[in-house]
Amino acid sequence: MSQPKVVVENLSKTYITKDGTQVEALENITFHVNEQELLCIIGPNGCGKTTLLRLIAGIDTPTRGRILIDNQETKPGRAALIFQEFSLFPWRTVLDNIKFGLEILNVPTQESHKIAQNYVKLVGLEGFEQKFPHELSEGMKQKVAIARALAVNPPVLLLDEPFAFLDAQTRNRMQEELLRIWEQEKKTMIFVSHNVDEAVYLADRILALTARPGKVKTVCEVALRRPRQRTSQPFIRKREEMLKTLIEELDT
Amino acid sequence: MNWFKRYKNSLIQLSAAVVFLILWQLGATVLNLVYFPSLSDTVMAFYQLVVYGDAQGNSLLTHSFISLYRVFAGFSIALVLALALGLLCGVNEAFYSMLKPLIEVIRPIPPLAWVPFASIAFGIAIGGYAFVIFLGAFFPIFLNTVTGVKRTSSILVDVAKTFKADKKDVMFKVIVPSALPEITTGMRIGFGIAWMCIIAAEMIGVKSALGLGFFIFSMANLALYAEMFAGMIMIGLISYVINEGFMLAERQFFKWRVEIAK
Repeated sequence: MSQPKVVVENLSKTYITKDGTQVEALENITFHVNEQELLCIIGPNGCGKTTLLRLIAGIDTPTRGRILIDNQETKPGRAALIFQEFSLFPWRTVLDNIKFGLEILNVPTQESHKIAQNYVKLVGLEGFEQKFPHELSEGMKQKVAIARALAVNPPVLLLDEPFAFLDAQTRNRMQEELLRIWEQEKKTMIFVSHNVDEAVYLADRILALTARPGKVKTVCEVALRRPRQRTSQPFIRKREEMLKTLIEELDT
Repeated sequence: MNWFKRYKNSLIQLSAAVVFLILWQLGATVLNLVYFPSLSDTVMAFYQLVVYGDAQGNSLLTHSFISLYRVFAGFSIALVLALALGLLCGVNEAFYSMLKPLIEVIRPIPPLAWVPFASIAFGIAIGGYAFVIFLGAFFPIFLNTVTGVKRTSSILVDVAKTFKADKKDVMFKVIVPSALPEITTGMRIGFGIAWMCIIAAEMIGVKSALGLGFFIFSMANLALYAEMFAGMIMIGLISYVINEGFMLAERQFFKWRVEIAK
């Protein structure tokens, strides 16, 4: 078997809040993600899912343990992170938002323009290049965020409940779009969600975290062929199974 | 009546101004007070002063430019220092809390309270005026800059960091553009205060023979009340134009803000 793309080993994170209390967000987490795999992480609210992604993205440092991407300790720039909340630069147009990461990397203007245009096309936002974020719908904004993340060609894409604020219909469409982009770009993705339906629809494997402090509860495969039918028997069975796991966690 | 709808606001503003001017003319004529000139006398004086100037041959425009020049001198220094300190204090809480007591004690002192000191220290040189203007303009720019920096979304800073942005990138690609609307508001308010300060400073202390404040004060001493009013109107006109200029720039540069687009 080939090297895993991402390795998380004995990872723990303890926060000290402003009033001085210690909060254990994550406790001794170990898992891996394979090359071009789509791993979904689910868990109850406040189980440290966001913290986990921030650690993998290298913008937060673990208390214990380590994270390897391509066998090297993670650091900013190695994994792109897509946030749950509004994360576009409101003063930049769609195109200039997508160019942001390229500017930081000092990619020449002409080249960065070409790359950005390509990703505008990939996420289907042609004609909106010169719009400001406030002129876009919520779904379009997340598409821009995805394009901006992909433009710097990161080895790993991290998504933190990116569709949580979308209405159900738009969310389903965005999930399809994401799968299309994932297949086209052949990226390794870690997708955090608290929505079981979403996880079963997207994931190759699902990792369930326990309530705080977050520990790995189970990892299970979703061996369903794509495109998956949300109303098919195997889909529903898998969903029930995952829901049970989550509910156990909420009850204890 | 499409054109009517289009210019409705301007028409309303214009008619309000006309009514006010008529009331002024009538009021001054009826009251017949020597120190309250009518509209027509004031307009005449204004015209004479702009074209022929005062007894020393200095046009009203010259007085205005001298005052504006003094304001710009002090304002530019204030802008540079307030921006630098504001950005620093906005990102560095420890630095801000160190400066805070000092700033909060100096801030409530009216800039005009410094006029006697300024005229002793600088005489009628530009430095005296610049000093007073500096004190008037610095605080609004500084405080708005700090607010703007602090209001920068921490998510946007995190986004930049995931793209490997260093401290300089975060400052100039995230914090400064995010704070720019507040900074501009601070500049507009600061300029307004600076303009009021210069007039008062020219009247009460830092005396030279030029400047709008000095002009108004000396017209009052000479009992040339229409001329005095003409000078006052010049002050109002200049503030109006500059304020509108700032607003126009804000609408142009900050199209990305939802509040402006709507």
